[in-house]
Amino acid sequence: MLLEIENLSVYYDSIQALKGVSLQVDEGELVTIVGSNGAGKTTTLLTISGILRPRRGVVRFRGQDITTLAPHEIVRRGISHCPEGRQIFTGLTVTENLWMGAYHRQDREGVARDLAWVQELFPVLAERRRQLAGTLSGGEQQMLAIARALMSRPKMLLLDEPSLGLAPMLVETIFEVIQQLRAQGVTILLVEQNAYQALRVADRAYVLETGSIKLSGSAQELARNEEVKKAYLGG
Amino acid sequence: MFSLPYVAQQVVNGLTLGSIYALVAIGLTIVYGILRLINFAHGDLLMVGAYLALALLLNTALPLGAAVLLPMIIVGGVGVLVERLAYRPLRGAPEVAMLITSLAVSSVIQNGTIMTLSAQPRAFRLPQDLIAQNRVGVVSFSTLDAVSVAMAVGLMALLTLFVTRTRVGIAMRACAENLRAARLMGININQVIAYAFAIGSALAAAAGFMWAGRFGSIEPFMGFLPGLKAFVAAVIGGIGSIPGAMLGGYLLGFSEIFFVGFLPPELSGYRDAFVFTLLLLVLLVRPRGLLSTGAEREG
Repeated sequence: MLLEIENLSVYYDSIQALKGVSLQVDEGELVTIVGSNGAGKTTTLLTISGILRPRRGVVRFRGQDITTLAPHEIVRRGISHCPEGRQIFTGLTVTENLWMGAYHRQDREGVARDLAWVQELFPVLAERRRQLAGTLSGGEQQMLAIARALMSRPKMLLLDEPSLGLAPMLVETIFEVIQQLRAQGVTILLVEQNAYQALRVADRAYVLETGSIKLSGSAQELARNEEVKKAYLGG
Repeated sequence: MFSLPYVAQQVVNGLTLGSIYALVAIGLTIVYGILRLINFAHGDLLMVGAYLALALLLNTALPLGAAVLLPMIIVGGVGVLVERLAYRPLRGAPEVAMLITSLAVSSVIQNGTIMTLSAQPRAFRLPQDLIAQNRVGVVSFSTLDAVSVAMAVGLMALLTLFVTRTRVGIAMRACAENLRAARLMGININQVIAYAFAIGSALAAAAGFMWAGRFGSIEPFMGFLPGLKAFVAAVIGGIGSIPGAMLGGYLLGFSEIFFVGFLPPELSGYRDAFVFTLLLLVLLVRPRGLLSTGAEREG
């Protein structure tokens, strides 16, 4: 297992956001967590990244306990997090944003190679490299956010609502890139409200409801599940 | 009307005072940018810098440059230490907790100085060639004035290079904009915060040398006034913005000098009232300051 989460309980003050969540992601898999607003999807990702601290439970990455590591140490071990709402640095140029994604890396040539790689994935970023990131359109900002997360050369990518607020065409583009990344061997944990798209591209899926895993299985299976259809796929 | 030499003289004076305010304001603004902390102890580091410079001038035969540079390095270290001991344990606590702590730190530094040295002012005498007045055309200025302005401009140029060209410098801007995203990108924020305190404190020490040289004496509470003025400068420029702190510093320096220099002498006692009126006026028009980006930080 690349990533193993065991019995994770997370609280915001006295409110319990995660109630014993367990899930696994194997090397090379594309796993998705679907669920409605407030189900705990983002909380799960933020806990994996070390931003939130669980009250109970363990996060293991490549067999090692990373539950109490600082976020930058977790990035160093190979987990990269593309946060909800993009959260790019609007006052930095596109290239500076990408450098920040590679902050901990010492291998200059590797960073240059990956810069070329993400610019190939998202050609528009090469065109706009000197522009302040705040001047990009919403879709371009999302591409920059994904590209920035890739600059750390992650073994595992956490993607939080990459399609949120994008026009349908751009949603297609983003999901094409996700599949491309997966084909290139990047393991992905994808959080989505757009369950239809997410289940279409994922290998496996978990359904999260009010802080607990309600269902899990192969993405195809879940896409045919009556409950899932009713709750997340519009009947 | 005022004669041209007189006006030119006021400009030179404004430039000197503005340089000091700008240097102190930068330290306040970069720390505020990342931690949202108004560091009330910042002015006291200026005082520590001045005392260290005096100690070096009196007790060693080191060249003058060392009396500026060594205090900058030491005070930079003190700033890092203060953050480590006083502010870091409060990370994540309400912002007001850190604010109150910075008042406490200020008090500790001031009273520590009184206890170890004394509350008595001390003469801050510089070598004669630094105080010597030079005349260029119609204006006269001391060598110290020229050195101060040149040094301030040089330091600000270095800082600008740092935040636009280096990894840690760019990360500093990233942290100021979105601390959580910076952490998710693998930026070690403790390291960046330490840099911010080191740089800000070192600049305060440099300003301490200039301030002490300008007024010729130092005392344990000397950091209060420049600290307060620099805070006003930072807010006028848009707190959190480095160019804003520079602009605010010079703007304040010039306005203060012009106020005293061009208005009837009876009014010059009101210069601080004038400074704060200026602040109010700027904030009425631009509530976030002149160069703020206008965006509230997320996360």
